Parts: sequence; C-alpha cells; structure tokens
Amino acid sequence: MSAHDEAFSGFVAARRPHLVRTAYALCGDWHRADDLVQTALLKLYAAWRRVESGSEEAYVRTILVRAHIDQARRPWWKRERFGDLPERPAPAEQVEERSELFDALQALPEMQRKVVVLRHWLQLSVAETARELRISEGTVKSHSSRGLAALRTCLESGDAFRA
Amino acid sequence: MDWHDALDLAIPHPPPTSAEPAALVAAGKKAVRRRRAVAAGGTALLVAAVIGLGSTYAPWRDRAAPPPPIATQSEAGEALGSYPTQPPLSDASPLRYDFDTNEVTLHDGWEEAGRIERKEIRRLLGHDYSQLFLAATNGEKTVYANFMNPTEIAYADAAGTNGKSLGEWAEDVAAHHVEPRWSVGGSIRVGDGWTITREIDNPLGYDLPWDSEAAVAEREGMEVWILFTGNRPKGGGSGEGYGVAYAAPGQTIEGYIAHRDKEIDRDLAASTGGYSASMSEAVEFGDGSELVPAEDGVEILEQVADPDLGEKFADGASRSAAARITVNGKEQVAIAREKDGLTLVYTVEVADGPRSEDRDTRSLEDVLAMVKARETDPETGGGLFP
Repeated sequence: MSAHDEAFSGFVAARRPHLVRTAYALCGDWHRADDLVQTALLKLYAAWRRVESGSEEAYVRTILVRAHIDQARRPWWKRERFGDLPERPAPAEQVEERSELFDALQALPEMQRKVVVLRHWLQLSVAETARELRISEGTVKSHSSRGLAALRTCLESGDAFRA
Repeated sequence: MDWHDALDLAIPHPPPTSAEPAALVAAGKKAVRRRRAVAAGGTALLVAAVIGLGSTYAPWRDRAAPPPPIATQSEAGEALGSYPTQPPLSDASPLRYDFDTNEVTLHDGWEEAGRIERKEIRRLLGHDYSQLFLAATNGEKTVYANFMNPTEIAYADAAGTNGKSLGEWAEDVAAHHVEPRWSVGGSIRVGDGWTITREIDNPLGYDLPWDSEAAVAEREGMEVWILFTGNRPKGGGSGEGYGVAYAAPGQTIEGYIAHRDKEIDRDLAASTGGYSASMSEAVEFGDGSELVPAEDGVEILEQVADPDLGEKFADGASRSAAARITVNGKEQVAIAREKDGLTLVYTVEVADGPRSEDRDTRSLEDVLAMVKARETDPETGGGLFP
C-alpha cells in the first residue's frame, strides 16, 4: 500500500464515524448520511495530495455541507437504489432512539439547521460557518438566533432528552 | 445553556462498523482512473464509481442485531428508455426545450411570457441549479416550467402559484423540497408546504415482508409523483428506497409507476441476489470436514466439504464445509472454515424477493454461488472470512 493510501486509510478509519454522525445531523437520514460521507471521502481521496496536512477533516466537512446543499437544492433529488435496499437498513430502534431535540433540529429550515450544527455543535466561528455555507456572517447570526430559539422552545415544552 | 453539550447528547452516534478503508481506497483509485480516462477523451462513466460499495460502508451492517441481508449489485441490464419528461406539444404541454440546441418550442397559440436564464439562475439559486425557467401563455392560461436537465423538468400552472411571478416561483421551487418519508406499512409524509393529494397502497403488488406505496404530492400548482419500495423482514435489516419524478403534463402516475416497475424488475433480474449472513454456533466440525449440529433444534439436510468460495476463503484453511440446515424448522445455509485453529461459522439466509411468486427455493449450490460472487468481488471483497 502506498504512503498516500496508508495515510488516507488511517484518516478514514479514525474519522469516518464522526463524519457520518455530522452528515446525519445535517440530513437526518442514515442512508443519505452514508452516501454523503462516501461521496466526500472519494473526493478527498482524489484530492489527497493537494489537501494540506491537518486540513483533511475541514476539507471533507466542506464537501459534506455543500454536497448536501447541492443535493437538497434539487427538488426531486432521488434515491432510486432498489438493488441495494437490503444492505442499507434503517432499524426501527434507531428512530425510537432519536431525542426530541434531534427531531427539533431536523424540523428546522435547512439553513438554520446547518448553521446550528456547524456553529453550535461543531463550534466553528461565525466567519468559518459563513465561509463553509457561502453565506454572510450576518445571515449566520440571524439563522443561529432563530434556530436556537426554535430549539429552546422545544426544550421548554418537553423533555428533550427523553429517548 | 451549553448548546454544544445538548446537541452532542442529542445527535446519535452511528453504529460501529468494521468496514475496511481498503474498499474506499479501491473505489477512490477507480474514480481517479475513470476521471483520467474521461479527461483523456474516453467515454467511461464516472457515475459507476461508487456503485457496489453499499454493503462495505453501510454503518448498520455490524449492529449487534442479526446483520442485514447483503444484496449483490445489479449488473448492467437491458436499457430502458428514460421516462418521458417532455411530452409532445399540446395545450396541456405547450412548451419544450432542447437541451442540446437551447431552442424553445411553443405549441400553436402559445407565446413566451417570461424567461430566467443561467446567469440569473446562478445569482438567484446558486451555481448550475438548472438550465432555464420559462413561462408560456395562451392568453387564458400560463404555465411555468423549470428545465433542470433532460430528466428533471418541473411544470406548474401559474394559476396555482398564489400569484407568484416566474422569479418568485423559481425561488419557491428551490426552497421547498418534497422530502418524502415512509416506513413499510405506513403512509407517505412530505415536507412543509407540500400536500398529498392521492396515495396508492402497494401499487407494485409486493408481498410481505415487502411493500410499496405511491403518492401524488402537490405544492403551488406543481405535482410530483413518489414511489416507495421497502421491506421489513422479521429478522431485522429493514430498508426503504424511493424515486420521485415531476408530474409531466398529460402523463399519469400510473404510467410512471409502470415504468419504475419495469426498471426495478430489470435490476432484480440482473442481480445475483441478496442474502444475510450472521455468525452462528448452530454447527461445528465433527470428524474431518463433516459438520454436525451444535445446538438443539438444528438439523443438517445436506453438506459439502471444501466449498469453492474463492481463494481468500480457501487460503490457509485447515478444513471447511457448507451445509443446508434447518434451525427450529427454518432453512438456512451454514458455512464453516477452520484456519489457524479458529473456526468461523456463518449462517446465510437468502433475502425474499418482493413478490412471492419469485421466491424460488435456492439450492445449496445456488446460495454458495451467491456468497462466492460477493466474497470474490474485486471492488468490495466480501469480508466474511478474513
């Protein structure tokens, strides 16, 4: 195995679970999350030599966020993959395990959700969030404020951590 | 409130996976090769690069529950024509767009009433969102159309858009996605602002544990057709997939469903089949390569020594065998291999097809052929027997 492949494999082994989780936070669907991460990692592989050491995760996250935006912008993005249905299960217990806060996060308008995930979960700065989402810093702040207000309402109205 | 901690608690972790990065490396190499081939003027299709990776990357594969079936990807099947997104010109379908020549054609008596081209689309909606938004009118009725690409074209009756201009409609289309959701046995749900106007229960006539569901959803004069298929086997490993298409003028959802039905059947016919495999203690080696029951309720119906499951399976094995068995009356195939003093036993269960008439009994040889096809796949490499 080449040094390139070895380094890439090490990154994938170490960071894929977190990347899948990030994608799931963005899209709320394990199937799509897996697809997004797979696509992003393939792009990373192709660009590995060009990506500055230590920036791999940021590179993938950017692809992830923008790929999700690109996909979601298409009103009829489709997932016709009947042939591999059985290998991508969504066990019922996963649905039951979702907390109300997570459901509330998924119920946010798309850009609010992305801002909340990037800014408040991944703890990117306002400027970094704006750059990743290709929106202004002011828009980040307004999405952040509205998104958190909606989540706060959810927390106040029930036990958001009930599994 | 510490939002980071609250969100970190709320966002689920993916189930653990033992998927090997090596398969991703292989797919990456393939993608790079194909990209180079295309750059060099080749005609290779980039889109195939990730096909076949599903089982390797599916993070649910290694859950503690019985592993989900592993489907073998379909081979290239007979090509079906694309679903007709641009019907012949008529008053119901008064405008067409040629993606090659950028030429717009209107039905007699209709004239163009508005147009948003790529530069403006890019400003409004982002890079490469679509080719063209167009409005056409005959003085009595106005139709909006969004020509994204030859297979994605949205139409709306302007009268149903609450007075939106073409530009406002364009922004609305981009901002409101139908985002359908469904679970086997349930009803289809759609995103905010969309309304289900018709739902068709099991239009594909599937038999349990499979199911299908279709719906027409409407938003502001625009219709989409949704078709879900899924299964929920008792042993776990449920899954759903779906297709969504814009309603083309003059076409019906029944036509769309019939088209998808053919596509799905074609894919299934070209597939070598799906199966689930889980580690088992149902059988063990007796003398030599003979398998014997190791649990109550297990009966061995037939068995073969040293099954051919590829070089990786055979390499270094001191003994191996496969058997058709019943476990409490349920038929399965057991595969066992001893290597370096360690015996691994899997029971394999073939996934049911969607229709009961297609669920032929598989022989031991058939099942072993399916397992071999997966285990020797150069791209995904199986992985049951390291």
